[in-house]
Amino acid sequence: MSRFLFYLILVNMLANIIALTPRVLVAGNDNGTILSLILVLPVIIIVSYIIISLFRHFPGQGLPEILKTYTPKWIATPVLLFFSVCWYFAGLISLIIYTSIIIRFVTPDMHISIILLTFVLVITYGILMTPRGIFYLTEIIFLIIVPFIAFILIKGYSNFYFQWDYVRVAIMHINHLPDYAAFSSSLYISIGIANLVIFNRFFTKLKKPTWKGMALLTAICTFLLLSTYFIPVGLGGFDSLDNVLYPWIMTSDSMRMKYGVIERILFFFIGAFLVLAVVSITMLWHVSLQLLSGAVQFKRFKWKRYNLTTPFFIVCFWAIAMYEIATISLDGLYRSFRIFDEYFLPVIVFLLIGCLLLAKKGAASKWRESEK
Amino acid sequence: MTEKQGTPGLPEAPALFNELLKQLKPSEDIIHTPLQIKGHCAFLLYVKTVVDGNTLQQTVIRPFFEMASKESFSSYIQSLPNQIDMPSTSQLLNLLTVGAVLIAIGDKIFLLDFRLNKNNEVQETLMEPTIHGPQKGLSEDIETLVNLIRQRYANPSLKVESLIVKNSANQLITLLYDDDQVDPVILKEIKKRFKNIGTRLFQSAGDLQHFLNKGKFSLFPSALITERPDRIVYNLNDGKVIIAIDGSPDVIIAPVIFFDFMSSMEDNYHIFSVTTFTILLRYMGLFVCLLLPSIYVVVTSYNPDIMRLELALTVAGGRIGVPYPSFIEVFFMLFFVELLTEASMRLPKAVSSTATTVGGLILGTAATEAALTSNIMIIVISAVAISTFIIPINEMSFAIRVLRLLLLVYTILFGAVGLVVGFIGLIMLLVNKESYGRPYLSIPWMNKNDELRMDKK
Repeated sequence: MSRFLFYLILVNMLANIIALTPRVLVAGNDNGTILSLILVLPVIIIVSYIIISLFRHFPGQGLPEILKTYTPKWIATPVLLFFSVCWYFAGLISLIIYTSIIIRFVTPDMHISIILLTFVLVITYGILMTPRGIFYLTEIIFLIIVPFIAFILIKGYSNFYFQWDYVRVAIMHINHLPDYAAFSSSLYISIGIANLVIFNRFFTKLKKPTWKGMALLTAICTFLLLSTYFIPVGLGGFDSLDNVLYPWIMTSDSMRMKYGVIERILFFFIGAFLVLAVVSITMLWHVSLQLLSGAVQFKRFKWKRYNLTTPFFIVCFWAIAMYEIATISLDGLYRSFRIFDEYFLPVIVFLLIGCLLLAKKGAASKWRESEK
Repeated sequence: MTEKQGTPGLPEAPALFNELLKQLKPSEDIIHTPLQIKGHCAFLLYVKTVVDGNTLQQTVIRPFFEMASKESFSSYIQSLPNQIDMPSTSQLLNLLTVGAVLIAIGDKIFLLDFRLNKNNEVQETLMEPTIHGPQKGLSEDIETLVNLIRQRYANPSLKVESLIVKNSANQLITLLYDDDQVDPVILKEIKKRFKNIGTRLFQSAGDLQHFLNKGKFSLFPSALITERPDRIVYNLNDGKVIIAIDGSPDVIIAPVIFFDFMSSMEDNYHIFSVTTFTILLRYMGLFVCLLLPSIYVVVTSYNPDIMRLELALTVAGGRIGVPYPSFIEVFFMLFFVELLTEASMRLPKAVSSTATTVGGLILGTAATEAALTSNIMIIVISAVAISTFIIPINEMSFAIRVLRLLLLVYTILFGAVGLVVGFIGLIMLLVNKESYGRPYLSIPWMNKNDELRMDKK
């Protein structure tokens, strides 16, 4: 299994640890979070396996090319548009969450649109890179960040105030039926493999998922998913996190390095995950932009030799982001996050697999025709 | 000008000679002389200042008077090792100006190479010194240079290709590569770039490198300039192409990746633990000189709460009395350090130590005492200055100096978040860059080649 597949999954997973997913998990803690977590693991492994196997049939092609070649146009265009909007909103939600985290915990004096401006230049440059460039970027970021994250996780588990009893209390609630909100939210953070819709362009020889690779993936996913839930619960207590929007940030702020130059783990934490978030948003919006320009191209919209469609889309991206960030409330953000997870996510997964199956069928019949 | 055309009893010089003479004429160092003994004669035409007179005397003039007949002399000339094939007239003129000698015996004309080069001594390595490893670098004469490389890389697969750029100095450029190792795609790409090189004049390898780069506004060097023969051999063996220019003691290595700029040849000459330590040190130096000024701005002006309380108070205490915000302080000091670096580079050696003392010691102390900067700022800026020099290849260290400013501006505008995001932006710039089709920055794992190939197909 190519190491880049792991990055697709892990970046998405890690970038969301800090975001709203722990909040959803904690909210359902006396309901069915545990069983949802247990249930989501086989689901993501199977979904990942299916998606990788399906994309193997289309080496070096992204979803726009696949759909355009093998399916009728009235299917391809709406599906691409829908996916593009979904990916855009996934990125947008991340962006808004991180902006609100920054204004609350790092630079409270700054205007919120200036914080957004921080990202504009870098992310715009990032989404215009090639898939190869984004992968190499991810790899380097990973090498720099993973030690920090490992440090934070170890620090969390080995903390004096980390009470395994809270974890045991949380596990005791295994007898509840699975909670759909917790299930979809944890599915969301582990569905990073869906980015393959564009990043498959990089893989001209995607290998079949190996047992070793899948086992490693399962192990990492299990560890991270459980840590996402258990570390805040173990440190913060089972009942007391109910009114906290960002449980992980509260948790990390309760850790201290006695002899460090930087005393509060919080800054390590926000810094490390901010980097991952930027990479994650870059990935999501790169996918969105490519899907969008795969579906819609204005041929007349030109300045000199350059087609202005892509820059126009990017300007739209930022304009919507600017508007949303100025108007949305935290409550609205939380609700839209849940709506995205609970209603859109399953549709995306089924639609993606359905489209790929259809395209595979189309490819097979085309191949048979050319045989004749 | 020695012209003996009119002397009686001599046969006429060949028409080609007269034509060439007409074109070379008002120059003082053109020699056109007949050799004559017992009825048979020969004509010589050369430029005195670039021809090795002694060798000419030994190998041409004396044998002429010792030989019995015209035929034996012409076959003797034909067998000399420094004979060149007759080129076209315009190129002939160029060859004459760099040290060729034209000989006419009867109606046969020969061209011999008697180049005199006083510039062929091997130079010391100045820019990239090492403790172990070769102490001598390359030479300004291209033949000596190729000789030095061939001596070190005794392999028949080492190919040498020359081409003359059609500019006003007719400069000679030589490509060297190992035919077995080199990537033909990259070789083709480099040759293609030479084709549209135009008629510009190059003064050094750095000049040519700048031209070979595609983007005009590139932040990073996309080819490496070196003066070390061991680095050249090491890179030849890796399948890279060496570009040498006549008259420049440096060569260009292409394509390169980011890590090439961060490696010193010394890394190969030490034991593992020492090498690991120095490499680690180098990368830490890189991060320090890139990030430290921006970190200073963040922890003084934006987020003093990042550091532990005692340290934050010390930093704030050091800044008491400094009358402007931290970013002006940083710019102010960085500006002076850059001035100091530039000055000590350009000055003659005898003066440069004075400049450093005055600038570094006196200015630093006085600036703190006058409360123009905090003393912590002085520490930060000296750490930055020192760690800039830890980067082994000069061009990269210049590039990092510029990048540092960009990152600083981004941090000043956007604070701690700006620092983090700006840093990602820098990595994006590096990752997105290509050097002759190779990705500039990527982590080389075991199966790197597989993945590159996978990517290309």
